[in-house]
Amino acid sequence: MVANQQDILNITDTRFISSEQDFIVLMQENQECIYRLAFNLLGDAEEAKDATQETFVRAWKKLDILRRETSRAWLSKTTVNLCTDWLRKRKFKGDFPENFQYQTPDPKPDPLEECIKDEAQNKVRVAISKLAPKYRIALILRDLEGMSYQEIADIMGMKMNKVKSNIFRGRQKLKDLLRPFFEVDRQ
Amino acid sequence: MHCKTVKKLMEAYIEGELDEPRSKAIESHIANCQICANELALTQKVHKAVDCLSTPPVPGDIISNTLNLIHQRSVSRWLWLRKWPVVVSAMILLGLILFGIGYQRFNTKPDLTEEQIIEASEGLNLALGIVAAGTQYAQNTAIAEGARTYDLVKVASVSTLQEISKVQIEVSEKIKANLGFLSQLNFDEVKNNEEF
Repeated sequence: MVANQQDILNITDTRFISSEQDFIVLMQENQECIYRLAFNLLGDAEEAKDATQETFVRAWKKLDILRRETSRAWLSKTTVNLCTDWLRKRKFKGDFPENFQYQTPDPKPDPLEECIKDEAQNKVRVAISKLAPKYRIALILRDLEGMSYQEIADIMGMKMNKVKSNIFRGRQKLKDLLRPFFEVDRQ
Repeated sequence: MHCKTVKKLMEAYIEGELDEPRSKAIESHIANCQICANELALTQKVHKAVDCLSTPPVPGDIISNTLNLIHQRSVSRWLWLRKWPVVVSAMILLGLILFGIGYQRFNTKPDLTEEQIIEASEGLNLALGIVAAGTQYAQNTAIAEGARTYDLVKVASVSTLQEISKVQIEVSEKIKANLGFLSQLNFDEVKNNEEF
């Protein structure tokens, strides 16, 4: 690219992502949270990787409207929509496993932190996978991604009261699914 | 506070979303209700379990894979064009034909013939002559019959002449434009015509 063209690019609106280099920076800044979100929704590392890549490919096609300050929300929403479609197809194909085994996540680096063991984490992930999509997504976005009710409402395209209701119901159902495990554990 | 209410508010209590009076009411109830105390303990365990969930490390090739995917999909789109050369050629040709038709249709053309322009110009000159003669007559009459009559006629004549001047300018401009267009079409014929 000649110097004067580069100068033209530099004086364009910096709120928008205007070059490939900016796009790479966008991916570097967001790949971890998008991958984590996709993994929490899908429960599979390879699928989460594919979903993350597909999200960024879609972002590339929408560079003309993608603004820096709202890119995280846009990417999250795209990831949720993508994963929801994949989950729907997965269930439709009939290969949604009841005894779905999640990959064993890496243990916390701090051994002194009170965390449950790998088996317990698998139990929790299996239980989450059994929730209806609307409860699962709301619960994941709130409890695992730490999003606000308004952010979740924007991503899921529903009112805040509905979001709170879905989160409440999701937690209740999750608790009922894990009750036998934790009550036995407690005893 | 009833057990049903405590159960309903338990999540909000753990999240810290309740006001102080209701929080204290729940704590007071739990202190005296083993069932609700067990339920609270279970709820807190589930929350802790969810909080402790971790994810695998991010694969290191996501960015490079994404860029490859973008490149592959843009190349495959061009490959589609190479695969269907006849279709693509026909589409381009059709586009050019439609563009030519549209250009020809919407191109500016004169809305008067040459004869009409000449006739209109002669008519305008005649009208100007009549107004000038009438003004002179009015002036002469006014001198004979009184200055006031002259003033009235003079005002009318002046305003009429002004209006005619405006029209004359517009018509002149239009005549010029149309003549210019005509001259481009048949320059030699116009050039040899004595009237021009």
